[in-house]
Parts: sequence; structure tokens; C-alpha cells
Amino acid sequence: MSSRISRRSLLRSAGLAAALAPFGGALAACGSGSGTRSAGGGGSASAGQAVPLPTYVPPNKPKPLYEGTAQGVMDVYESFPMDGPKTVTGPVGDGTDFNVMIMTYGQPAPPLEENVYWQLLNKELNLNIKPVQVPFADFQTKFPALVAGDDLPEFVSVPIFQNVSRLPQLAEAQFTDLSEYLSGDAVKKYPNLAGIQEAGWLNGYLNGRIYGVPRSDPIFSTQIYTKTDVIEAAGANPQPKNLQEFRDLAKAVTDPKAGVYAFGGNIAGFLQMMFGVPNKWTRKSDGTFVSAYEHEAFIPAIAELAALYKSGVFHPDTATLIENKVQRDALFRSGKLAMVHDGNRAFGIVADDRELVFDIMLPFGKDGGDAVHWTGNGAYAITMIKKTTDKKRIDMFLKVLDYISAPFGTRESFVINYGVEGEDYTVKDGVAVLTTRGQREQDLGMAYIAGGPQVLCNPQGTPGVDKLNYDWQQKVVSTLLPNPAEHLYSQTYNTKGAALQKQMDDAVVAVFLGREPASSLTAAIQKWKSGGGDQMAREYAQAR
Amino acid sequence: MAVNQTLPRVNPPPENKLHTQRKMPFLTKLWRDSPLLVMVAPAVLILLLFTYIPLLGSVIAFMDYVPFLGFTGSEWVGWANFSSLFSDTAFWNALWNTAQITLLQIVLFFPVPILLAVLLNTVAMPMAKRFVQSVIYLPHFLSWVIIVALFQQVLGGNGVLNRFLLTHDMSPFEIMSNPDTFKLLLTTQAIWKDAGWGTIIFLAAIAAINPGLYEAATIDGAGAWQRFWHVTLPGMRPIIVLMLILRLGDSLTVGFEQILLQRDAVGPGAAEVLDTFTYFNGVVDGSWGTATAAGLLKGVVSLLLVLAANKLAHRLGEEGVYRR
Repeated sequence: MSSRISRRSLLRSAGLAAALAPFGGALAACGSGSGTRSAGGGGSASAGQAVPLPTYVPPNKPKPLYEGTAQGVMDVYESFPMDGPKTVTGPVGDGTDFNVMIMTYGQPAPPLEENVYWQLLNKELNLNIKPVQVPFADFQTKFPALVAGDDLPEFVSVPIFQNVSRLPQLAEAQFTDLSEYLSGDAVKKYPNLAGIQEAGWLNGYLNGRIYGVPRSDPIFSTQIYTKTDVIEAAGANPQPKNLQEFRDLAKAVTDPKAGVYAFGGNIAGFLQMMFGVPNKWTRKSDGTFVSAYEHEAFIPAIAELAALYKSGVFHPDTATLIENKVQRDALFRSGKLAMVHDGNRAFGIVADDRELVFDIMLPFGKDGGDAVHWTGNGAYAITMIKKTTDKKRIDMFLKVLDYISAPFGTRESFVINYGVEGEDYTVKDGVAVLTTRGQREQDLGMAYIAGGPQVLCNPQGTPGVDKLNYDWQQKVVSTLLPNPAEHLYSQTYNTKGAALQKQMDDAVVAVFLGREPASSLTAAIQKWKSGGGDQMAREYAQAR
Repeated sequence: MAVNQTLPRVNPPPENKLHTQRKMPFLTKLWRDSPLLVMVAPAVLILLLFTYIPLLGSVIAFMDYVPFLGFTGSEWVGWANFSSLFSDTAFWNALWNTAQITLLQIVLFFPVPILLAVLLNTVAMPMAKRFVQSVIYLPHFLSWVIIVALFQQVLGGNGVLNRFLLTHDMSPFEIMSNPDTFKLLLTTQAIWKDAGWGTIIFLAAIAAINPGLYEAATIDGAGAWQRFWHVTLPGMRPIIVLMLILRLGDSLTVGFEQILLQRDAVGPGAAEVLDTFTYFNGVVDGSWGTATAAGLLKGVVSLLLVLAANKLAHRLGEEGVYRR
């Protein structure tokens, strides 16, 4: 079934926010390799002294087929080792209920009695896992309602790209400060959590204290996937080298009579990177911050987007497809869209399907040469525990996350990723391959609440998909551009950031779809600046 | 049918009651009405619990409200929310859109159920009448999600109509994503869904007209048109006025779900109304204070509209929502 989309694959597409929001949604940088930071994400009302981040202890890993790099290229493995070492000893849970809020994408996971994967996890963790699933489409309304009604469950996993407003204050008011358990060497009690890198931890480091355990994310943000058969049939070049070739490709694959279009979503982020627009902010040499909206290439990039739309290479339902990822992916799979722009993690969606032949477009500059590539923010989600002083409970919570965070190659990681043999996965020629049932049962989402660096390992996909992505990463890694304001604290961003962002996103979409001229962006940027943008720039400059 | 019983009386009430009421002392009246009061008590309780008590939450309009800090922890900001609301062009845009949609709905939508009811009333065959009624009531029971999807599948950019035009070398129509005609589209959808359902109350009003009046008119030589003009329409008038006043009361409520589902297709410039503005500001963006201010303002304006319309109705000699 080519249009089936499992949550397993969708969850991997956390960066999909990047494609949903014209500016690139969650895109933001992590100050990777900047040493121990003590002021990142600090808040107005600090609960105590800023603490050091958890010490990083690199995990042992099996030898990869292709070795990743410290800059963020991921390791590639042919298959998941089935006899990996155990990293967790002794009991994990205490047999109690584990009520955890998880954001989900597709259908809810099959119920416990029919779900052998869930049953296995309950047994392995010695818990009674009770997920409170919040669908992706409802998160922005459901989460505030849960907060307002004081109905949050004991454990809460918050996707970073959802831009929850006032997160530091919320954490301080409602969640447990985990600093004494995780800061510095204390984290070594949970060896798999110690294997999570700083770029991930910074997302849960609020008010100078550690509130959340991260689920790490690849450093790359978005990719354009190209449908090889559609492009070949049109006789077009799938790897354009400059803007003109890109336009030619889009035009060549579009065939309205056959209902085939080049794109169906917003590619503003891709065009901005092509035009060299910075990643949200630029820090000038005098320490002041300038917004990417004010960059000279921002308006031309959006104007190009509008021109492409006007030329008819976008699907007629683009206005609604922008926010409808599931339908967009279905159109791509069925060959009605020749290209789709999505978060780097969406790779899992295409890599999961053996029958789908695709390629990844390499970024290029407008006039040839290199584009920039905005760095992602280092984590998909952070998971927190409601305020409690019960040390045993906190310890159990961290033990559970420690189990879930077991790195690639370990027995625990195999359990989490593959489930029950014969049901969730089968072994073919010594390689464990997930079954459809296995993919469905993992919709439980537990694997995505905590974890360290990920790897590329998709034996169930088309042969060579992981190498394809590895090669793409090798070429793009040198063009990574971080957001200098990432993890700096701005009170204005904290309270008004989400609203201001949406205001600009709406303005961009209005130009994109031809409702407003590109010149209207000048006024929109002015409004954004006076509405809080300028204030944010000042606060970031002071936060340093 | 329940609707029938809740209808205000079309014919003038018996005279005697009005006189006796004035003479009775309060306690006697209380005693006399006690069974009725007991019966109405649960409804009043529900109204108190779910309408009046939540109204106290309107103080949020004067606070920088943060849900997890609560009423005690959040800061009081006076009229700041209102001033930021009034200086926000998005709010004025939402208000203007709301007003336009209201006007369109009153002019285009409101008369449709009345006309339909009159037409239905002329259908002589009971079978045919019931069949038509069933057909026109049905769309009311479909949710907006389904209706919008239906419209999208038929009239959308990639819908049946446009695919047909494209494959036959004709240029497609932009119906679902055209901001200029969006408000007409909304009204059309509303008519398609609810005009049939709206006929129920008017049919009941027609049924309540004394058949003797028609007989008398016929004997006097009145034709079909004259009977309609001089008997049916005057008989329906109090209901029409009542419905119009009630409609004015929620005239600023122009269909939240319907608009939310289609807002992306045309953008907030054409589709943002007060309700979606409140929703996005409050629930999604967390500006609960500003959102509540907008909601409160909407409530006040609606109340004023009802009072004004009611006053006008009284001036014109109608009963309005209550009798004077």
C-alpha cells in the first residue's frame, strides 16, 4: 500500500515543521561544541544557580558501514545488530502506571491487548505504559488546554518545534528541576543519558537548570525529495545547479492534464537557503543582532517563490496542502507531485518504502555554487516530569528514559526499534526487517521521548537509501549555518515569539499564493519589528 | 414536535390573565407558580454553571493571563489588552470581515428558509412534501468537515469540475481559493447546509395560522397571492421578527468551524473573523488576555444589537423577544 504512512516513519520526520512553516518552522541552531554553557535559555526568574550541563560520555558503538563525522554526518549501518550488549542492569520500573503525553502523527497505536510491542515494552520496563496521545494536528490547541485545565499527565514530552510559549516559566511552575540528578557527572548514573550530546541537552536547559531530557535530532534541517520516475519520464534533470535549471525542472515535470505538478507545499525555506538568507538571525561584529527578514535576499527569495507559483508549477490545492503533510506525502508517493520539501527526518517516510524510487536534491546557490543550509536545533522533543519531591519516582523516570535512550547496537535499542520477533520483525538473511505490523505497533511513540544521536539504518527500504542520504549529508555539512540566537533567552520571544512568527508566515504565504505583492513584505517586516522583533534583537544582544 | 411547543403564541393571549396578575400578592404568585419554578430550576442551574459562572473569567480581559500561573499569579494590566487590541490591524480586519459576512448572511441566507417554508406549504401531496423535507433537512446533519471536503472535491482546484475543464482544454475556475468571492462561498455553503433545517420553525408558524382565516379570505374572493400576502405572511410575521432579532444577537458569530477549515485556502486577510481571531490569539498563541478582550467586546456588541433590534420591534408593534 503505497499511501500508508506509519508513525514510525512520520515521527522520524520531526523536521516536518520545517516544511510546514514557510520560514522553516523549528529551524534553529545549536551552539554545538561551544563547551559548557551556563546561561543558555536562562529565564527571568531563575529558580537557583545555573548548573553545568550533563557530562558527555561517548557511547560504545558498533563499526558502521560508513562512518559519520563530528560535524553531524550520521553513521550508516547495513542492519541492526541483533545480539548487542546490554546497557541497563537491574529493574527499570516499579510496576506502576506510566502516564506519558506523546505527540503522535498517524492513527493511534493498536490497543494494548492487540499490541505485542506495547506488551513487550511493559514487560521490559516493568511498567504499565499509558500514553496520552495528542495528534500532531491538535497539539497547538490540545497542549494549552491541558496546561490551562491542569490536566497534564505525570510525564510530558514536548516537541521543540511546536514552539510552546513561555516554556521556561511553564517548566519552573509545573515540572521537576532535574539538575541534581543530571548536571555534570551526576548523569553518569544513567549511562545512556550521558551519551546524549550537549546540542540535545540545551533544549531542556531552561532558566539555567535542567528540566527536560532530550530526544536528539540530526543537525540537518530540510531536504527536497525528488520522484525519480516522474522526472525521468519528463526527460528533466533531477539535480539542477542553479535557479534557472531549477525553474526548468519544475516546468518540465508539470503536466496539468495528467494532474502532475512539481510541488504541492511551501518551499520558501529551500529558496531562502538558495538565496543565502541567514538562519533566523545574524550576529554582527559589534554584538548586535539582525533578523534574517531584514537580509537583502529575503524578499527576493519570496518573490521568486511567488513567481514559481504564478508559473503554474504548484498543485492547484497548494493553499491547503501547505498545512496538510499527510496528503502531500500521498500525492508524492502516487507520482502527482514530482518533488516534496520536508524535514530531514521525513527521510524515514520515503526510506521505509521499498517500492519508492527517489533521490535527494543537492542544495545549490541561486547563480550556481553553494547554498547555505540552516542547522536544526538539536532535539526533536524534551520529556519532563511533573513537579514532585519523590526521589524514587524521579529516579525511576530517569531509569526509564535511560533504557529508551540506549544507543544503536545495544539490546535495549533493538527491543525499542524492533519489538517481537515473528510479529513486529522478521529475519531475512541475518537482517532484521520490520513488518507492517511492527511499524503500526510502534505508533505508540515511546521510542521518541528520549535518546542520543541517531544513525541511518533502513534495511526495509530501497537498497542504497542510507548511502544516498549519507552522500547528501557529506556534501551539505560544510554549508551548515547555525542560528546565533539559538538557546539565548529573550523574554519577548518567549511570550510573543509564536504569534510574531505566525504573522510573518501568513505574510509570506500571502505573497507566495499571489494574494499580495512581494512589496507588501516590507510593511509586514516593519510590523514584525515594531511588534517585538526589534525588542528580541536587543534582548539577544544582552543575553550574551 | 418540540419546536411547536416552544413557539411564542401567534394569537393574542386570553385577556383575563393580565388582569389577575396585577392584583395577586407576590407570595401567592410564587406559590401558584411553584411547580413551574421547580421545573425550570435545573435549566437555570445549568445556565448558572456553564454560562454565568464562566462569565467571571472575563476578568482575564484585564490581565496578562498565564494559565499555569492562574488568576492569582497573573498580572493585572488594566485596559492594556484593549488598547493593544484596538491598535492591531488584524483585529479590525477580523471585525470588518465578520460584519461583511453577517450582512451577506442576513440578506442572502435569512429569507431562504422563509421562502422554502412557504413553497413547501403549497405542496399538496403529503408524500412529496415529506420527501422534499427529508432531503433538505439532511445536509444539516453533516459536519462541516464533510461539507467542506465535498465542496473541495467538486469545486476545488483539483476537484471534479476543474479536472474536467483541464482535460477539455478549458481554463479552470478558482472557486475554493479565491479570497474575493470567499464570503459568497461561505454563505452558499451555509444555505446548502442549513436552509432546509431552518424551514421547520417557519412551517410550524404557518401551521399555527387559523385555517378559518384562509376560508374567510377565499370567500371574500382572495386569490392565492392575496391569501399569501394578507394571511400567511402576517401570520408568520411575529416569528420572522423574533428569528431576525435572535439572528442579530449572534450576528457576530458567523461560523467558526466552517471558516477555520477553509481559512488556509484564502488566507487570514479574507477569512479571519472575530471567532478565529480569538482562537488563534488565545488558544494557539497564548495571548489569553487580548483574546478575552476581543471575546468580551463581541459579547457586548451582540447584546447591544439584540436590545436595539428588540426596541425597534416594539416600536413597530411586534412582540420581539419578550412582551412589554
